[in-house]
Amino acid sequence: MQTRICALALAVAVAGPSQAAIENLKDFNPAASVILDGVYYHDNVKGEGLEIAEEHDSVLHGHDHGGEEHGDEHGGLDKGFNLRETEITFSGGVDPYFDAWFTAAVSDGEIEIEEAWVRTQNLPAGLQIKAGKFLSAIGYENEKHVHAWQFADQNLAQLSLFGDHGLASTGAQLTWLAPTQSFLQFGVEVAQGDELEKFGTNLEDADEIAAELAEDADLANNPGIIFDPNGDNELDGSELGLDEANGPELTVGFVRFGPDLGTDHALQLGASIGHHSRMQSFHEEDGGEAFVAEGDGTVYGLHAVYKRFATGAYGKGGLTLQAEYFSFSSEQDATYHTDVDELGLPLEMEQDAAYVQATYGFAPRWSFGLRSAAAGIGAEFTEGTEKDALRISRQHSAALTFRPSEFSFLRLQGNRNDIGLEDRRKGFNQIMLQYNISLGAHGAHTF
Amino acid sequence: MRFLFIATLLLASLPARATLEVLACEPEWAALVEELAGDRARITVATSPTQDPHRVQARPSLISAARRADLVVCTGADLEVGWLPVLLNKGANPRIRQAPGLFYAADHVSLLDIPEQVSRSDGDVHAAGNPHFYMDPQRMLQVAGALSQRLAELDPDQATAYQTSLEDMQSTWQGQLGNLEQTAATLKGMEVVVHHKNFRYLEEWLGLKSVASLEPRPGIPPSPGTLQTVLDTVRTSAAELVLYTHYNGDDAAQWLSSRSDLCAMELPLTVGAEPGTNTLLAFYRRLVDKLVQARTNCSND
Repeated sequence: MQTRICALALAVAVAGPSQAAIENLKDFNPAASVILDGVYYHDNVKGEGLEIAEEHDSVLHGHDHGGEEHGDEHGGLDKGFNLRETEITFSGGVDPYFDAWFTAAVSDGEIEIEEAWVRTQNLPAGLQIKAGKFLSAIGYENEKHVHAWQFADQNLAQLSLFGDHGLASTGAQLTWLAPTQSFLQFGVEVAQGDELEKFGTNLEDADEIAAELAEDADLANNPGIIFDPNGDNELDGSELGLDEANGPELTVGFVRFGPDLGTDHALQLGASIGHHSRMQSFHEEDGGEAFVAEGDGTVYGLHAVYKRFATGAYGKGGLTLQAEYFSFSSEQDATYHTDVDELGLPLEMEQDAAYVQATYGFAPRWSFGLRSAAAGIGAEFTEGTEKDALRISRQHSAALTFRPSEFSFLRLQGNRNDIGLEDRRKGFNQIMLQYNISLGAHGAHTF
Repeated sequence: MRFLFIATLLLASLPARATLEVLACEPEWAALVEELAGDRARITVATSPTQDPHRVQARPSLISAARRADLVVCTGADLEVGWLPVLLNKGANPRIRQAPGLFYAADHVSLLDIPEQVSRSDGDVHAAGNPHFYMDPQRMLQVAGALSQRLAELDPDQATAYQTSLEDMQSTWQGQLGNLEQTAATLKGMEVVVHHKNFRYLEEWLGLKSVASLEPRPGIPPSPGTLQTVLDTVRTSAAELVLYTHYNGDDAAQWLSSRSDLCAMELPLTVGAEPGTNTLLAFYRRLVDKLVQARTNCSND
């Protein structure tokens, strides 16, 4: 924005308020913005709310995994003031052939590239190719950045399957837009998928797991007490029998359909499928047995989004209804087991997740939203012939948002959580007061 | 099976390519294309006549319209910056990303109120100037000349037809606008209050004088405090009307009119916003008639 102001000032100074100045501004490229986001957080579980939600009973956490959490604390909120990720975005046209997007998230000395992609703009027949790191078009909400969310936090359903960062990876996406009056788009994505948090997770800490197993069993002093593939009385990651990363592991396909309902309403329906060819998991059993498994995982998704656009002043009367359902399953085999006889033990995992939300602009600049999400729906973990049902978790939220302008908003949100943990249920409340400020120009929002 | 389904959709949606597919950002551009191209163009309009064109969403069917378009006609001057880029980027249609397939009307007229500096602190300011110039018929005639050339460039077989339409339009408009301006002569110098600065060019055309805006800054709704300031201003002025349009809501205008001698007057935002405004000329006539009538009624109160 600063640059833009300078460019304008310069243009005005040199050329006066002429056609040339207008041209210069219009061509200013790329759009650059910084998005500041902060939350005042409170809960009635000593500030542990997010940690408890994170520990909800899920086949994707590793079963009976007593060890410390591997997930990062990225989405953590402390009681009181929190500066959340600061988003830095550059976007714009590159030349007649490409446009590009870059978003980095900065938090506490860490910079992470959320998206960095280039997209073709001159392919014929409605085709486009996007390459780089991008948020997958699986479902609907997954592609949205934090400042475009209608709630202060990500819903529990998305979190349970795609984690804090959503399903994002480095790869390529091909889309085809049909030349029809209704919106009809087909897309496929192929991506590395080697740093995913939930669906598609890999055991990047195989060496640590192996060392921990050896230490727990005191393998060095008790040769043969647990399975030791190379018989050296030590365990390292390579003995766990896991495949190394070998090319793209994540494939996503999607179709989106939006009939033309005129200027006052819009509807989008979508179906998607994601497949990961190298999912890995680590499981600890009662009685000290433990194993590592590998296989593939699939997630099916359906979504529906309806919007009635505001005809009143400053967003009054606008309505958005949004719902998504995901069904996840994975089949894996034990590639390492402390009990050598159990090697190859088959695992089956299943669990669904869903949310539904509604937001209504009840007054100029004010909107109110309700959201209900569930994780671990019908969750089952089958180990050999032994089947375990997991606990479902639910979250209900209400959010009141005030938008002073298009570039800022304040939001007060309450969550009622009913989390199924491994051994019990835990209910608790969370309150968040969020501010979100867009400094500068960022790319226009998609539907 | 899927292939068959797609093939059927394709066949159903592809007409014989004798017509130009046009996507118009706002109803006034659809009306102008209609004047110039008649049934040689098939027009999709992105916004309804009662919607705020600043705040439209890039809904899926608009992306499809961008995909099919031979020509996209928009205001430009950043009016559509919140949504048009999505259509151009996701439409997967290389033809409309630049001229000749992309036509910004603002490129063909001079704009008023170009700010000397731009800061978001001043609200939703358009760096290129006030983009609501379609309310000035003389500027629309300038745009019509450029748009007619553009249509001929895209559809050279029909070039003479576009030229004829333009000349017809110019002669009809000159006559009718003369009449309208005569009717509106009494309005010259009338002081008004506006909700948003979208009547800037109407004021210029008819010689109205805007003494205040209800919005403290463009795009920021009036608060009780700012309304009080406006009230103080109008009490010392000769302002007669407070003008607003549908999407502004009438709360602020009614508040002001109930506390002053001003009369609140809703004006149609654009072509098609009210019955009897189906063409650009009818729209201009309606604006003039409403203003003249409002002034008469108001001074009789």
